[in-house]
Amino acid sequence: MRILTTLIAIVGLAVAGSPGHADSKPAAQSAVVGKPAPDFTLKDLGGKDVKLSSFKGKVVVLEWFNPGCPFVKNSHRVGSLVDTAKRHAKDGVVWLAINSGAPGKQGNELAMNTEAAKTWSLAHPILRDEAGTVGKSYGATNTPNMFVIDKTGTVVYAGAIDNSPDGEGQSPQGGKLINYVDAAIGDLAAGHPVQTAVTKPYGCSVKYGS
Amino acid sequence: MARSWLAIAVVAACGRDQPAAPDPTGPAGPTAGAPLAGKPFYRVDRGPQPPCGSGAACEARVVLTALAGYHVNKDYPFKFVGDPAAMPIDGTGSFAIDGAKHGTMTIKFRPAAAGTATLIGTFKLSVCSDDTCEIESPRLEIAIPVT
Repeated sequence: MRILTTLIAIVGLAVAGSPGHADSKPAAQSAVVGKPAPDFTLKDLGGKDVKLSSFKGKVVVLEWFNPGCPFVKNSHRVGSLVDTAKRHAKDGVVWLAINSGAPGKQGNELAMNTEAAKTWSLAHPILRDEAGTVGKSYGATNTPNMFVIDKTGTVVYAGAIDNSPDGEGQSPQGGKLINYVDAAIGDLAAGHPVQTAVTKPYGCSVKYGS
Repeated sequence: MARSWLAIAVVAACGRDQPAAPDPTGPAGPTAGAPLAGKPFYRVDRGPQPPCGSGAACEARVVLTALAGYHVNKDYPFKFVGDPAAMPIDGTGSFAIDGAKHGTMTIKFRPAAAGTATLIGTFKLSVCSDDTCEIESPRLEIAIPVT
């Protein structure tokens, strides 16, 4: 009996930790969910300070961003990030993109970020986190990597933008495309807990300096 | 000194956007011949071709090899999207990873007649290095002898 129990536990752990399993609970993502969102002040592309805690009382979405990453490009060009921020802005949701790429790394250049904002008609700020401090405090591992913060300042979702790891929305696992950020915001609006609070992010690694 | 720089420049120029040289660590899978597609960080070769008869369920195999410091992106949904105007295929293929550097895409189809069946489509693939991931969509044309 003990052997059987051990085997079941091993199989369970293996399934939960398998790569690409949308319902797996990566430690880095789980660490912040249910806890107060680490506060930060970062500069946007124009050099203006943006402080997270100034948005308390609003739902905030953080999107880890790298305009040179092909998964980010796909998501903004044809995938689940097309106009998603604008759509939710109408309901008062604050959307902040954060680039934690270090100087000299892919997607760090100011001009490239400015161009991406223009190309993809991004109305929300892109914040510069070149030291990677904020990225590491959230456990951001990928671009895109999404975090949803509720009106009390608690992180209620961490993980992928959707369940289609091509970034194009054309290969959803399970057959039906799920935008996890849409779902989390919908849950908050309906007044119930976020049903899918953690997923495994996909995409490029965050280009931290160290 | 100048000769050395010239040699480096020529090598660099010749290497741009050309199918890369065979990876000496490659598996027994790819067959000899020119690659179907490639860049300095990956190449796609024909795999071993099982016999294929007209009216029968057949398979074509292509082998992805990640080159240099790249590895196959194990989280990516690899696909072969057939050209609607070409030979119909079943679904979008199935991809099996053979270690960090290789993967095999198997494409199923059913040729109606003997001769040569030509599969045409886009292979959607991804390889990563420690620094970045690349998504590529080379268009492949694979001629299969049909008995």
